[in-house]
Amino acid sequence: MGEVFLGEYGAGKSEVSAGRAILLAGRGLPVTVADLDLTDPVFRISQAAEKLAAYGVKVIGWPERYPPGMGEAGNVLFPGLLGIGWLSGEIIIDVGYGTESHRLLNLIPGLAALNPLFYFVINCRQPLTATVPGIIEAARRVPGIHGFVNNTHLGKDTDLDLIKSGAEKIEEASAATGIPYIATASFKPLAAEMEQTDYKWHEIWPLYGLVHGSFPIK
Amino acid sequence: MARIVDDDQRMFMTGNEVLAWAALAAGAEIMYGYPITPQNEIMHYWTRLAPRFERGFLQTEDELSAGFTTLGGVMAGKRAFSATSGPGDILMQEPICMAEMMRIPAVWIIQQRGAPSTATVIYGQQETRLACFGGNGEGHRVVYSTSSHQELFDYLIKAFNTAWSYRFPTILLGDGYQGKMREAVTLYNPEDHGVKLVPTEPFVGRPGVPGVDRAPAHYRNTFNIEEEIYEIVHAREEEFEALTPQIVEFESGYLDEAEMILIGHGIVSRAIKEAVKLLQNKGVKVGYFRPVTLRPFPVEELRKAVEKVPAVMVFESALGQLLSMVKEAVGGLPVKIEAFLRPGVGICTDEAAEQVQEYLRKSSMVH
Amino acid sequence: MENKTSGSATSESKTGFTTRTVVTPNEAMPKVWRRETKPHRFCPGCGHPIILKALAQAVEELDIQGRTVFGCDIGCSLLAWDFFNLDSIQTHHGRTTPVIAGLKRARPDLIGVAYMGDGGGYAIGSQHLLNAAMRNDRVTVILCNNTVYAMTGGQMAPTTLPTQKTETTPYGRDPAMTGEPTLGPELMAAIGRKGAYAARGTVANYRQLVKFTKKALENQLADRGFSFLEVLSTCPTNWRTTPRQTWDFVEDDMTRVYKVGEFLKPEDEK
Ligand SMILES: Cc1ncc(C[n+]2csc(CCOP(=O)(O)OP(=O)(O)O)c2C)c(N)n1
Ligand code: SF4
Ligand SMILES: [Mg+2]
Repeated sequence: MGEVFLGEYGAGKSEVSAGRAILLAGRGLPVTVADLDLTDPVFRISQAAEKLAAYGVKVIGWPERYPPGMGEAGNVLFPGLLGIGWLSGEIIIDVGYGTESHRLLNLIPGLAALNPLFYFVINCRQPLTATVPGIIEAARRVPGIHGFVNNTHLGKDTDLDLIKSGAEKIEEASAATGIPYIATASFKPLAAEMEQTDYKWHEIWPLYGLVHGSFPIK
Repeated sequence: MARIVDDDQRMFMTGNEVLAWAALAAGAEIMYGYPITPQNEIMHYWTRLAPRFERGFLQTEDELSAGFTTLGGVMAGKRAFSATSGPGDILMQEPICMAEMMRIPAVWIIQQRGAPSTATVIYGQQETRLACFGGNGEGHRVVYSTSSHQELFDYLIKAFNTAWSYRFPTILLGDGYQGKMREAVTLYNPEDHGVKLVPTEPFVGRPGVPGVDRAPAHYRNTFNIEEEIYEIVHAREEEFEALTPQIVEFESGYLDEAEMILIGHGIVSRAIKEAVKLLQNKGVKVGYFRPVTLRPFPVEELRKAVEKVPAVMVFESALGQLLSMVKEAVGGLPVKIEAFLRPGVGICTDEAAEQVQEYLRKSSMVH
Repeated sequence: MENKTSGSATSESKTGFTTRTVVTPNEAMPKVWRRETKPHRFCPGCGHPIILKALAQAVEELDIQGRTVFGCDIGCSLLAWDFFNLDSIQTHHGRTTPVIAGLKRARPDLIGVAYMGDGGGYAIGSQHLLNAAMRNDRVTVILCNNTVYAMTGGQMAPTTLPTQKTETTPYGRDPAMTGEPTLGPELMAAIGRKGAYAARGTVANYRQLVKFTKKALENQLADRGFSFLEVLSTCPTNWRTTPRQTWDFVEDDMTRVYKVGEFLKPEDEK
């Protein structure tokens, strides 16, 4: 099975991919994450490879201290990614941002064999997806989305009300587009709080803050 | 100008996106630019948003052209800007020089990367000197060094106002970390916060026939003899100095009774402020000083801050660029100047705190 | 499992496919390629290494490995900084032409190759290209046309096709706002002096590419004039294309705008 994570730049695709991978690994499944974020030498899921390994999750992508762009960029495709269509187990693909970014999946020849589900990650605290029409417009740019993932947050200023305000918009966008609202993702303590409520979060996916640790600032 | 948000909006985004929104909020009418990491997303977002807000964009053949087309845009009376980094920053210095000589209120965003030459695209503070003194002159320009996403937003709006109020080219100096990292920020319409946008006016192309209805506009940057340029540079310097108290900005804390003051600018100032809090909690008496404007430099304010302090420690992701400015500013005072210099590499809170403690431990052994 | 790596035997594999093992990858590599730095760092499906392979083959066939200096630009061409067993200089973005031109003035016995992208050559380095051509500098410029600024993540290049979407033309390139694609070899042919060479090859026709590359080097060897070769190349990563779409784009879409062939030959009257 494959799961593809798409969304606006900075929506939290890498973090959500990492959280999802840990969740599936926790169910005893063999999980591999593919780093198809070709934008930056930094802020990519490959940076969390070591931490993910501790959860039994494998990462395919350029090793952290080997950004291939030689000081200019990080956008050279890691050749190992071409083979992920033939891997067994759960394959999670973290796709980078940009014009037509979903078409990056064209670079993976055997993708169809994974029967992948396409998840669209939304943080309603980003200007372009802050409103229902904004979400619909953003989702319209990506054909074939199977589900929305609510990742509404404001960093350390996040609380349940804030996540709920995102959930309401995503419910509305879901009703308008017919794309199901699949899950709500949030950092572990908040995810635990969510479990205690009977609000309709759909699935709850805990996040671990694995991707942001690369910069030496808070 | 159209409002960019209905009312204040708390958002979570990357610094480069913040800058694109800030430029919209500041009423910027046109961006001229050339791709370079780590500022690309300013341009990517501007090109996505510009049609929606009826703003303009031109991708030029290089940064020299981006800089000079910006000057053209400003001289046409538009709020125009450009953004660049590293090797592109070097090329921008020629147009910035023309702006200094001719008092053209153009705005530049510079997201520093590793240096020299092409180096890395990730981060650095090695363009500090270039941003301040990159031209063949005395550095008559305003440079704001930001440290958070909120500042990116606030100070870009301010940069346009400073430029158009005082007619000095104005630079917002960030870095690759600030461009790429994500944090919360409040987007707002300047007028909702009592910030009025300083009106622009054209240098050329005003109504009327030149020489008939009005005097023609003649602008130049070239002069014949030594005395002429001597006069001009002096006049410029006097004006810059006279405006300094209005423009200069700094931030400081815990200065009283400090045994040492930590000095840093830009994103590094975040680490040192945190380090100071950490050390204060342990009972170590340290303070911090952060220049927000690097041009003009808060000379008087820094001298006052370090007057009674035995030592300062300068922190920067460069090999002594801020350090030399600090040395010049505090010249003649009996303060010892230490430094922790990390060209092209970030500085963490813990590291900074450790450096200070190590120094204090050693110096107390000497006593 | 037995791992057969050389020889030219035909063998029946267990899956029933007939495989013909010809040579080891090492043997297939031109000698001018530096084995220690292979596999190279370009993306799978990238056109750059095909252009560099043609260059290596031309250098080998002309037997000039001992006197060729390779200059590469900033752009994905920089990934070739240690690609060859050739003295190599990675310069600044757009500045490879003048570095190599300067080198050639100082050491006319060397063969100078300036390798760059379409952004490097036609945008930021365009003044150098024009002036080197006008001076008839005895250097060989090879320019990779992949219609985008690849290394910085796919912004518009001077060669981006009309309506093509890039990071700085998210709604498609509009020639009314940004001009028509730059036609380099045509331009070089128009301004080139007697003895100059200008051609456009494509990675989709390798043998022709080697031929053009050799001519561009021979012209310098014969001290006749400036040599310019543009090569239509692929960038699946920034085009976001499948292998088939990639080849369709380079063979069909690009050649509708960019004609492959020779535009100026040293023997032409000028
Ligand atoms: C003076 C300067 N401006 C901008 C850059 C950023 N930059 C690096 S590579 C590049 C574009 C490369 O495009 P191209 O020349 O077409 O080569 P490609 O990567 O497509 O092969 C740019 C703009 C730089 N390094 N130096
Ligand atoms: S980004 Fe494009 S040009 Fe650069 S190595 Fe990859 S395929 Fe080649
Ligand atoms: Mg290119």
